[in-house]
Amino acid sequence: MSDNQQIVVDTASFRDPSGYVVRAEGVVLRAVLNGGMGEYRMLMESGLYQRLTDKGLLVPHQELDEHPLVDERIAAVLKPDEVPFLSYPYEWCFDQLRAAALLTLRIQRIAVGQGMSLKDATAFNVQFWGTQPKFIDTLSLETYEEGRPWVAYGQFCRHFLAPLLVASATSSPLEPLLGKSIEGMALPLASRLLPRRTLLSPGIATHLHLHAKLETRHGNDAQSTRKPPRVSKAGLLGLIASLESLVRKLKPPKNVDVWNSYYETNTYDEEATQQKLKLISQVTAEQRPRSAWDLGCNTGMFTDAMAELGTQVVAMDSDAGVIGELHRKAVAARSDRVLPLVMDLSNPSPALGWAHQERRSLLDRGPSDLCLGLALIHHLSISNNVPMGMIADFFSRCSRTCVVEWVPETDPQVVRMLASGRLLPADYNRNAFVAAFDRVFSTATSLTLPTGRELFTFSR
Amino acid sequence: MTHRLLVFLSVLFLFRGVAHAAYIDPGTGSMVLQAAIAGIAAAALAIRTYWHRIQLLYSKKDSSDSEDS
Repeated sequence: MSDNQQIVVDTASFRDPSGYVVRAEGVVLRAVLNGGMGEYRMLMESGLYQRLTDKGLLVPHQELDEHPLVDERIAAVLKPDEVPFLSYPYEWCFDQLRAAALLTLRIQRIAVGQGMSLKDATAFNVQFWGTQPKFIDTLSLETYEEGRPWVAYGQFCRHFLAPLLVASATSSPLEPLLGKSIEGMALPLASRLLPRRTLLSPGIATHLHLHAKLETRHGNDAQSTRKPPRVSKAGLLGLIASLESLVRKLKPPKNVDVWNSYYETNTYDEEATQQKLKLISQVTAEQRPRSAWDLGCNTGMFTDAMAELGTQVVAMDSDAGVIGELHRKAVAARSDRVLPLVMDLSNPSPALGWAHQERRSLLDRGPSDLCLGLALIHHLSISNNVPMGMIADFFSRCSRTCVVEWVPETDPQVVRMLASGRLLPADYNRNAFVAAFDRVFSTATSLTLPTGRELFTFSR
Repeated sequence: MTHRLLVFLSVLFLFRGVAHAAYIDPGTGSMVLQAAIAGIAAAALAIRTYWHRIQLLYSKKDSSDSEDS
């Protein structure tokens, strides 16, 4: 790794003065600058790093003796374990954000016990290895001075507490609450959205409603700064415990699972499902993909089939209820290969932040080695009016190999969709479908199922 | 129950008290608030720990205290 032109500074990290992240020839490295070295040494020498990584809470890293970075401010270069797939809070289900919140609080609790404290508590500092959240920003830990308040307390409430409380109370998915914000959810807005009865909960009344009031009031003051108030260590630990208990007690949103009964009520017969599973397992066994995307994953039956064979699967569905269920199932199975994400394919996650470079778009995080689009094409074409050529183009950008299910015009699901008077798009037919995919993929094989549907495997 | 009521009343009291102080940056509200919560929490924690110890004296159970602390 001697060629400097291969090195790209990861712009998600530019806000941190103590270091930055670079991608050099596909490897992610974290540079620790001179200014951040004291805190970094303390993390390593206090035993805190060991403790956090032993418990699986913080991403482990190697310190490199030789590295390709040229920057005289650099004091150390770290090579952290690779994140299988970058995901963002607006793509998580409730339980994922809750797990990330509890992780952050647990780290802060342990850190304070060992003389350090988190200077950031953004949800973007957490990434998932399957269902296991880990804190990825090694340089977020700073020396804790007894008596100092927790600087990231407000940030924690905006990134975690506010969206969790509002989602829980209104049964909303997280994405509409967080939107394109990279600063979490504004507390005054959350306060107004929450029902009045939440004022009776001491935890919500203080951490959210009162917090919002104080923030609004003091945010506009133009007086000179005063010394920050003193917060004892016991008090700080109490504050963390109070947040932990509040977050733990929250009920996930009640969801109306449109698709949960799908496998019982739809047109699949058992044999067709078995044939689909067999084909997916066969393709996975042959190609040995490291990564796969299951678009419109539903209950995750095919996600599991791929994961069982060792593939890291990102399972995406627009229904937050379905994703919540899949996450719970994966947690119960202790799966480290399935990452369920809420993703509306008709409006996938955009690139966000400064110059569109802080948070990456879905396609920018690909391509995956394998991509599934099962029982999906009619939703994209008929419900969303996406032309067949654009659907094929999207798939070709998701992966080199795609398994796509063709759902014929006569299929009961399609007939049901058209029953309300919706028109069948002119390009919704087998010929147009095959022609569109043939234009962007070089090979195609197909398998006809007993239901009349067909499974196409396209490769570039 | 009385504990919850006590906390709630303290909160109402703080709501009035802190609002008169003048601070500058947007983070100041958070700082003031956590100082207040931390004060109550520290007291509550002390009482709870004390109470837990008394309970332990009487029940001969092993302490299943948090593995992190």
